[in-house]
Amino acid sequence: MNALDRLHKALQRLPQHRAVLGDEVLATILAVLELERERLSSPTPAGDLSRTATALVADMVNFTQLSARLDAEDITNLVNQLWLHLDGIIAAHEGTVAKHVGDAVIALWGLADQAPAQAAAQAVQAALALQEATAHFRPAGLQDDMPPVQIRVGISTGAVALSAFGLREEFNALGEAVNTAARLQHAAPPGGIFLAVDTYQHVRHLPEKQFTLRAEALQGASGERLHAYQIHRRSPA
Amino acid sequence: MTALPFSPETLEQAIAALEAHRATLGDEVVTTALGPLRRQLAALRVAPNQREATQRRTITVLFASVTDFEARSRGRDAARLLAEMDALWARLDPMVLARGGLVDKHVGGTLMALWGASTTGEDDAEQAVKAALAMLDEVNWRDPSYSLQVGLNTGPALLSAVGSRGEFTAMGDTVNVAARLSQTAGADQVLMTHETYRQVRGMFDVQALAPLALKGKHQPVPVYDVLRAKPLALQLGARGVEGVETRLVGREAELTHLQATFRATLDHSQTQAVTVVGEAGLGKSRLLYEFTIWLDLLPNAVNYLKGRATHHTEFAPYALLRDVFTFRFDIRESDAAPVVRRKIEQGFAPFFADPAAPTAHLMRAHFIGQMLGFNFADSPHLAGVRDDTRQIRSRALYYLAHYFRALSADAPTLLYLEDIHWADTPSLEAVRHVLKECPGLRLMVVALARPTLFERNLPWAQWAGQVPHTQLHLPPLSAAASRALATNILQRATTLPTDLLDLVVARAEGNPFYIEELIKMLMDDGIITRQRSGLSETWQVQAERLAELRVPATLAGLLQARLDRLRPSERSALQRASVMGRVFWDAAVYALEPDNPPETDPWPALMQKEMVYHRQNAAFADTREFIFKHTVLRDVTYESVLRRERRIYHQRAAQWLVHMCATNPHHADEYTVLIASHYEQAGESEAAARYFAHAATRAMRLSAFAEALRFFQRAADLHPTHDMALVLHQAEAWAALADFAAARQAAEQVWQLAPTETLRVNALAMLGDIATATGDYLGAGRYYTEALTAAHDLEMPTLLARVLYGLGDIHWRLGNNETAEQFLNQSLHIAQQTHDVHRTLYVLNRLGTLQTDHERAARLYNEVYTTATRVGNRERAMVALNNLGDIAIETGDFQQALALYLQALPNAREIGAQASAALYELNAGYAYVRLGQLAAAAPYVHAGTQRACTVGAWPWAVWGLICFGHMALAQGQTQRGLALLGLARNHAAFSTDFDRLIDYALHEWRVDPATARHGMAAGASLPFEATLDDVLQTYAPLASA
Repeated sequence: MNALDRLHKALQRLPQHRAVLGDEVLATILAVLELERERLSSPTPAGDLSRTATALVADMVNFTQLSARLDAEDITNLVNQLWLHLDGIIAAHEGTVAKHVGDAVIALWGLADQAPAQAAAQAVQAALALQEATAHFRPAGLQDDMPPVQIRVGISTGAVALSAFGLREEFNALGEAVNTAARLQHAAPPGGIFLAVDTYQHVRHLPEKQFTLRAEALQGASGERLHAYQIHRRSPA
Repeated sequence: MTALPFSPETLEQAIAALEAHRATLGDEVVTTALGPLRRQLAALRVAPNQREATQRRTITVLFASVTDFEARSRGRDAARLLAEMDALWARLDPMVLARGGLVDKHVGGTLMALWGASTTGEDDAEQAVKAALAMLDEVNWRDPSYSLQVGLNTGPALLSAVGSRGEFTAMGDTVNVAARLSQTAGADQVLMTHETYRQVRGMFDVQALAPLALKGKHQPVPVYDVLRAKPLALQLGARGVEGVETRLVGREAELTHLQATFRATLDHSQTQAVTVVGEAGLGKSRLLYEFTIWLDLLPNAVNYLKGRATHHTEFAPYALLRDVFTFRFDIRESDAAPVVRRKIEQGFAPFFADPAAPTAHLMRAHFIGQMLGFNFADSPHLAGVRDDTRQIRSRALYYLAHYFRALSADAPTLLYLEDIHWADTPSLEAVRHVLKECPGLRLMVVALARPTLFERNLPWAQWAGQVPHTQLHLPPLSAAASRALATNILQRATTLPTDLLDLVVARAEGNPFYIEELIKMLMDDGIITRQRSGLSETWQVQAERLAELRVPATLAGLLQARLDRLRPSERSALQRASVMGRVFWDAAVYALEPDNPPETDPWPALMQKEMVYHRQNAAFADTREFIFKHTVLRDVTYESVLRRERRIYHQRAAQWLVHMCATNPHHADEYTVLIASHYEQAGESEAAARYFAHAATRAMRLSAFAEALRFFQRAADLHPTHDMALVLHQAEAWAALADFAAARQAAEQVWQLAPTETLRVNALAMLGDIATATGDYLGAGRYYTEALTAAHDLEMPTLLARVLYGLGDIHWRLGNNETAEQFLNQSLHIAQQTHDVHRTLYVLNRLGTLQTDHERAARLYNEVYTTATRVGNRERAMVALNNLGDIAIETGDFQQALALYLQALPNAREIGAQASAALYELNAGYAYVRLGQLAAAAPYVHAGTQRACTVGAWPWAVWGLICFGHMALAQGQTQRGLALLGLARNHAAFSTDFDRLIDYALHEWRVDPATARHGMAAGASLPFEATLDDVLQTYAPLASA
């Protein structure tokens, strides 16, 4: 029996217990269950199918140190200023912000109709723009003797599945591309961007004059070898 | 999710009703309906926060991660993985929601949940730990291929919407630590920090692990592994300080009342009821515990039944009575339904046995069980009435009364009902029924409640009044009892600084729970440290760190829960009030939000809820003055105010006070420090510094020199001053406190840097005074002479009088009495012409010391004393007393002299005049010497000399040496005495009027001139400081005796 059937059954059974539950309580329960039935009967929102997408994970470098030194209110303001700033850049590059987790942001490209290659290129351009914006970011509340705000970025292309989950319609993205992007982000130097091989494949043909790519061999989380490419914006000659 | 027309209360009632009737409705229907209801409830709980935007709160954070999530997901199809995870969250989220938590987010294989994010429950941490254990069970049972690892932490955090998507979440160190803990945990492990542990102590079996080093933390964090929940019967409340047994303090009368009531129950077979009412933490449970111990020591066996209501069960019918029988029959959460039914049948059976009807006991147990919500739906005894809830209820109540009759026939019976301010109404109605039906039993009902019981629309007093019923109101502990309790808890402390006791007693304000929590906090923060050696343990107190005392999270949570129950308008009024301080004015609170006047008067409700008290005689006209009931409540409320708002509020508070003081001139000075502090909190350092300087100047006028210096220092810290007039004031304060080095440095700074000649001349005079006080009379003469010319040229009569006095003073000290008198008379003339009372007092005094005729001198001193007392100048008054004492010495009335010196001494100590205090101590000692009471003299002479050395008042150190010399002569140590006198006479700070005293000593102890000359010459070459040290050492034991 699926969820909808169980709901139908409960909707039929509950009115028989009006004497036990009382009019008011029963009315509340039935109203809530009706809403739930509507939700379940409507066509599935944002399909649960996986697709090829490019995931970007960006994380603040000194967050833990700053959290320990700054008041919670200041650190939240600071992070919020940064994310509002960077979220705008992601949107301007046609990316979708999936989630903020503490000091990290997860964004995706390829959810709309972009070709995978285009999505990857946009993600990489966005990453460069994020780094540049962060380099010029001087938030209010950061004291002079504190380290500058820096981010690390990891990008990976691969299968990603999406759902809008739970009562708050939370946007959930899962897939190896997300995991790999997170791991690359972790390995990247402060202010740096690491690409996975799959993303690199899509962007290596882009005009060389914009940036340089360098191969790096990394240790993965469980000790396996992981290939990454570090990307730099070429400084204007 | 769309906003729905339900209130949280309606949903809570619906959920409670479903839970209560699970037996009748069936598991499947109830489970199906509960999910959507709980989600709606959670959505409602989130909504207000998103409206109110950012909040500071104390929360409990849970991170639950799927172990090895990344490795597990490698190579898996993303869509299937996602479906699997969504299914897992769909099962785990309800475990959070059902326990009052909020699911914050899911990231990959991790779930983040919060307790206390929208409303704080007193048992947030307990619920979070239970949720963690439930999740582990769920995963182990349903998906053995998965395992979870959980991290929990409790503490302050900031809640706000973040990023462009506006996700509502918590941020801060508290969250980071919980996340790291979940990463550190092993599979199937629940780890919590000490802050969480503190809140759930006694409720779970835990194992303390080695402290963990966490990124971003300087010190390793103490961590506990949660093994399992303790069986109900073994659970202890998280009260008390670990490993310390305390006796009952300050509740003896209440205990006696309970004992007497129990005796009355027994003696007259008369059912009795007692309701103990008191705020959280005032010791209701402790009283019950002590009563139970007393009962246990009685020869007769006693039947106990006890149940506790919680704020989760207020709307759950019969939850309280269910708890009573859960405890009585040892029913466990893990018991399967058939086991529960068997325990109920067996528990009731002995009291329902009826030979005529062999199954009657089962039938009765089933009715009671069914009413209480245990599932007896399939019982054959209920077959005919299953849907007739009214009949089930009335028959169950009838059997319940029967049960109590049988039980109390077996042994005296006690029914404890704890926290009935949260009790569900049907349970209390059932208790009323039992009392009404059973007035003549050996049954005693003890109910515990907070005063919020009376806010409920529930006539408990009337219900309990079916039988003789008394209400005991627990007041806060007296200061003496608080002190006794704190001392008792701190019994292992090797030394107990008064500061510590004062602090704890003052902060706790009579609440024993607060006392315990504050002491625990001091231990957690390392201000009290424990040392074990073998089986014994001692505690050390680091008194210098006492200022760091924080509000413990346990108290913060308790009070936050109360704040959360206020209406938004009441809460925001209280928050603004907390910015004003412990004492505040309604008009000030409104002035903090001028654009947002309150729609209704929030204060009557806040007074009724005992958050604030009204104070008579408000300081400002047309305002009402209030005070927070408790300083900790003020602190917790203040902590919930956002920092960016605090700044604005503090600024407006300062402005309001400035305005009020301007219109109420008699308060002009009183609130200077408060205004300064508000400006400081508002970040307006310059204004703050100005007001602190103002406060310091005012303190100078009141001769409160130490206070003045503290304010000067705060002003300087906020905003370095270049105002040389202030620096000169500071110099004056230091000189008065006998910190002559600092005084000299400041005065020299003014002399060199002051922009006006007037200030520079004043600085010169000050340097002269300092030189005099340190015995450098020649240097003083140079400063005064230079100042004299300038004061003439600048036509500054006040300064002129002062400098002339200074010159007279040093000439008197150097023995040039005629010159001295000339200067002094000039000074007196100018001072009297310019009505300079201050100077007049000084001159009259000094002229008095110049008189050889005692009567004339005494007249002058008496004039000084009267005038000084009239104008409130304690400093001059004490000088006059001292000089009158000197005359009494001269005239041989040593008893009178002693009395006068001892009258002057407390004044000197009070105004912090160290050098004068030293002098009066020495003088009192000398009076004892002259009275022949050497033993009484020693402590005074010792203390005075020591004090004079410490502050560098060398003339008085020399005087101390003379006194010691005198004492040595009196004890027959002639050479020693002479050496000391010789050394004194040779010192630069020796003043000629000491000669008379030396001559007197030599005469008194009949030292012949030749011996005296030799002995004193020998002493003259001794090293001064070393000899002084030696004398102080020698007399130390005598002094302390």
